Amino acid sequence: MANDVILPEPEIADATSDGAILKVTDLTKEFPITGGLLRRQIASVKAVSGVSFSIARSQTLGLVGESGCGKSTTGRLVLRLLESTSGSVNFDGIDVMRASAGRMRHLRQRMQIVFQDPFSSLNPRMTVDAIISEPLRIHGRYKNGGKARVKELMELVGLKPEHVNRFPHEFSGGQRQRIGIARALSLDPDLLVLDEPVSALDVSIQAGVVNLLEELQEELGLAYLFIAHDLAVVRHISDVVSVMYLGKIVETATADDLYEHPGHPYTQALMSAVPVPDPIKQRERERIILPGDPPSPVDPPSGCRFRTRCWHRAQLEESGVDTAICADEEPLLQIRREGDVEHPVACHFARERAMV
Amino acid sequence: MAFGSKRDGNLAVEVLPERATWGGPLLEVRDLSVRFPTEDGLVNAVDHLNFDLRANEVLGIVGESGSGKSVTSLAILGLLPKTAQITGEILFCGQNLLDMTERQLQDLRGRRMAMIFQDSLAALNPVYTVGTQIAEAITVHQEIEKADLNDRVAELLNIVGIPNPKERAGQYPHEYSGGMRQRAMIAMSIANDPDVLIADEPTTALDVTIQAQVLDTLERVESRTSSSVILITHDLGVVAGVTQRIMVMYAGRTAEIGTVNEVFYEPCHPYTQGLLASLPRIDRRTSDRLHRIVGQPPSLIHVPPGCAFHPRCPMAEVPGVCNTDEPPLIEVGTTHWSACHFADRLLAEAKDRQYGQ
Repeated sequence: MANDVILPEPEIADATSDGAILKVTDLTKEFPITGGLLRRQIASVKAVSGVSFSIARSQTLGLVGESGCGKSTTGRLVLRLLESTSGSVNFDGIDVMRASAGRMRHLRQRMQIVFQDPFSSLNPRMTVDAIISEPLRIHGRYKNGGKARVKELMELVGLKPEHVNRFPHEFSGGQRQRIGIARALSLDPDLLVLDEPVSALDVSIQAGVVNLLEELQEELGLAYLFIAHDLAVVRHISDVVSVMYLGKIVETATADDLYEHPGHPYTQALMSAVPVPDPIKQRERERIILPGDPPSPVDPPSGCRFRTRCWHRAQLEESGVDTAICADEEPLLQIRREGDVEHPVACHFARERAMV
Repeated sequence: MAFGSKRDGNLAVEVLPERATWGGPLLEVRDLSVRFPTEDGLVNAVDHLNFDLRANEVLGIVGESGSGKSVTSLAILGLLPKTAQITGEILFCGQNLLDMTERQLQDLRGRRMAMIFQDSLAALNPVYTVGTQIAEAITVHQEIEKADLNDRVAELLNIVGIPNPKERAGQYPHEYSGGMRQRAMIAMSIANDPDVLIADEPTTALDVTIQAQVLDTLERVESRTSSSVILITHDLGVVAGVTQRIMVMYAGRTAEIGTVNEVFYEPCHPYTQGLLASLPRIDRRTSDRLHRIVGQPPSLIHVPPGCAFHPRCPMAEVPGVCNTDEPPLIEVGTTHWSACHFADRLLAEAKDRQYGQ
């Protein structure tokens, strides 16, 4: 197709690749499905299929997509909580995928994760002190001022240090999430993977945790991989946003650029679906309704994975444009010379369309 | 008792005016309180609540967890556990639902009042086809010929936008996508053309593209049937587009009630203002921090004295009227009430912001 110019390499977040603390290249994860008498592998779930991105210090990359798109799996692969099938994760010059067990132990101090559910991610039988100090003890750093460090961390995340001996159930959801953040920060990490950190919280509590994350980033120079399905929170907190669909990144841009000039039909549908808390505007907004659910990642569609639900392709076909390329050729994530989208987008027919 | 013996539930039907002949509000909630005794004390889930649901309107009830919005809806349908202590009145076409027998309520539920629950996978029975389950919702209340029944099921599935309704009716819930299941639930709830439809967080567990499908369906149902809808949600974006009026709840009480434009553009309660300001916006560039409401929602066992919001309120005068007197609902416009002692001042400020810009 004429409007497809293959660039040498899909350089994601080009402007930030200098000084990137995390560089992920072509990351793939397939979960085997076994069956039959011999439990042989009969198929695989292609959860993540060739994802590349990089994050600089003090920067936030937002990873958005619907449930099952592979965004959480990506987060776990980065931390090597799951072993990837192929691809590389480079953290501050270290190849995470090939690091030895000892090296990994050291590395994990610098890469931490905050989970979604503040109720199940804290051990109900441990005090706050035990929860926050556990990483320090594991890495032998508790003896040198660990007690003071716990108090300092609690103050840092906006909890009262005198509550150090309380148990998780004595705290509200927002406070519990702060405990989870304090635990993640205890070892002075450089990178935090935040997996839906505010999704379980009420609106009035969510704002406090989002602000805290922003303040911590400014103070400590943390890099965030912010995984979420809430597009409004992602716009607010992220510098760069990548949109995932069925294991692939379909579009990447700086936050304002992506939200004001989305180029991929999926990104556009996603944005049109988010209700805006402004009645007059919301009533007039156009909503793109995608039919059905995303297809199964066991057997994703050929070519463009979004083509089975793509409203834009349907429109093009109606007006007589040949869209065979959508099924035949996988659209690469790159800046397209033709069309009006100035950031990488994985669509053969990318065309800007503002939705918010 | 306004109705006959407990054995004859159908009496209620005859006494209750039909929607067409009833001129007043469909639902009038008067001084409703719901309390649950627990080991720690009495939980004041709903506290002296007043509101109306009019004919052909969509009323949004917005609040955070523990604000009493779901308990209110369960009270209307008579689905609260027996331990609940309920006082006040819930008038449906002028008749108090709280005085009715279980038989009488059963006759109303599903026929004149219906509910859409949050979790459609749990609400549908996996071993019956979707068509059978919708048909059951009809035959419980109506005598209907088999052929007509199948047509009616297909028609309902068509109303909620499910393609090939005749074939789809023969499929099981697991063969439906998430959005379709929720829409099948909606089809079931409107099976008997109810007067009142209560949707309790109908889109909360869904992805945004599926949420869009469901909201689209609700709008279509609203325009194609004559049901009045109560939409309960914590998402201010969801209510902005589909409701005409909104009630904001806090700690089991009404904080503010008004038309959707009044509540969004001229909020007269500090809690509503705080909620709106704390939302990150998909349609705006923001570099500032989000507005944060300090503190936590109160325990419903120990609700703060006076205004329940005063410990978190930026304009509370404490000590003063805010921590001693519970604010009444103050009329700030013909359709707009706020339970804040300073509602008038807030309205003046809101108008200044609106027209001063």
